Amino acid sequence: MMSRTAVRALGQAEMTAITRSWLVRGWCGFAVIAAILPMLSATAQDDNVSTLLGGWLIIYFIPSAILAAVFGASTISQDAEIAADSFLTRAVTRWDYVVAKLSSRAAVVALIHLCATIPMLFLSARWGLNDSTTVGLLMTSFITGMMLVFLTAVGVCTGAVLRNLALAVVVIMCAVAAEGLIFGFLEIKEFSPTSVLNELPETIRGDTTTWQELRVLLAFTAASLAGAAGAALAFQRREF
Amino acid sequence: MNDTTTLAIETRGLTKIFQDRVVALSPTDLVVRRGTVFGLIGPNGAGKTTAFRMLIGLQRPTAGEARVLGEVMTPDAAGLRKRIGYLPTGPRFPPSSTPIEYLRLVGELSGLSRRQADERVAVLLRDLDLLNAAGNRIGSFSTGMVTRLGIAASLINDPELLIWDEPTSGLDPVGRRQVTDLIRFLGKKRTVVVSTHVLGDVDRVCDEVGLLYRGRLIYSGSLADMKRRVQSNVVELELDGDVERLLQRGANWELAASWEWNAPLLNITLREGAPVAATLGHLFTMIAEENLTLLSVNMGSDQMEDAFLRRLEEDRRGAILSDWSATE
Repeated sequence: MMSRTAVRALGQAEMTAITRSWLVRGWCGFAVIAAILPMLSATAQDDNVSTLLGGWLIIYFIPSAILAAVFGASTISQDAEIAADSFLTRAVTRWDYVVAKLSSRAAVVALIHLCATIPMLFLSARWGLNDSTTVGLLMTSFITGMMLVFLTAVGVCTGAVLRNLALAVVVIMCAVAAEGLIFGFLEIKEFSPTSVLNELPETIRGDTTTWQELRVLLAFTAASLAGAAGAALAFQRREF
Repeated sequence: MNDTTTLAIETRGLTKIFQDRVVALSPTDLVVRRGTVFGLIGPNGAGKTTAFRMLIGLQRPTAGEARVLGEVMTPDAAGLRKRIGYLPTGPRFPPSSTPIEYLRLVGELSGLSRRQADERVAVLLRDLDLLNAAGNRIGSFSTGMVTRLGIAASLINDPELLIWDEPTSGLDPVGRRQVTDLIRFLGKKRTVVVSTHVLGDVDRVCDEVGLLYRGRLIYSGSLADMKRRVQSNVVELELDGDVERLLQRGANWELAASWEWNAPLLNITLREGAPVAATLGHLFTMIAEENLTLLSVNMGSDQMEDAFLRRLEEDRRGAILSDWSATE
């Protein structure tokens, strides 16, 4: 059903296109600024690093989440005609196309996030009043990164269903907010981005158990895979 | 030989209804033999693009099936599409890529190695006159350049079947002539299916035609046969000079049924059974004797258009009659 050659060739082409995207260039600029500010602030403030970074990560996460959603949703909603004329009329299945698109976009999101947050977290911890643990800092970066990948996957899925990008982004944001409220209310915090963000200071300090952190990672990995499957199914049904 | 080896395309009851509201294609049985240049003609909105999109697997039939090169076409038939070169109408390609990047990618997707793809890209860019734009972004291309790039992409792996949707749209007269010449050349070795509403293009390149009208295939067969149905014995001459004496002589000419002068065109309807070559010879002699300048002779350049319009008219009448008989 899926051709590795096609996925690899399409993935490489997508990566090249992404490096030329102004959205990604802007995102990289934002990530650099978002990484430098907490480092500077860590040297000047009396707060513990866990509290400081917990706050900064929320500020960093909200615009990044919107960017991830736009980045994901635009891949199919805006490129549908190009996809049809350029690729789907060749030796490419729809699965090949969605997998190539989604995996390259998820990889780019993860890369930008890790490149920005790992230096931010470790240098801030070094220069501020350090109450963090190495595992806690790494898990914080991975968990927030996985949430962004999840938003990208949901974005790709929504973009495969809705042709209007703005509407797709609004739907994603509403859905994620609703999901956070529902799972927060049900106390299934692993699936609630709001709860996970609120608990970041504890994660940074190492106050949460490895199993709790893994559960969050697994939950968002599973949700991302569900988003990917949804995107593939929606794209499979689409007519061009 | 069975159908699989002789037929490039075979559709059975191929139907497309969009959103339970629009019947884009009524049940259609279309057959295209291998090695022919087949023209799918019809006015805008007739269903040509919808039919092509089902033939390449971009759309699923609501009913019926399309067999291409002996296999059923579906969106997942990637292996089958490797054997087909498709040119969409008004194609859209990745605007930030250069033609080299895009064609290389299409080559790799078609199963060529990087080296083979690069060789083909170089040849096709030269043949399709895109060498000067090889390093430019596709987004900056004119419509004609995009069409030529689409043609190059469809030829990248030398497929056995070409399906080109409106290949001459957006091209200037020189570009159009180049494309029709290319179709004729490609048609010597492979099956080519083109859609167009430019009847002159069909006349120049096609062996067989299918006529789609309002989502129905109302004719399918040889072009010669379609023309024969409307063969007329009218000669149209464009003349310069004083034609009065010629008209007087023509009035008594037993080989012509009627003369109609509408300056500068003279339409002469020959009598049934009149020997065409001899009659024309006689006519040209009279024109020379009257010192008239013959600017052009036309004996059926509009045949294609006439055939097309007549078939549409027949279909319209047929549809009305069938509607009436159904009512009664």
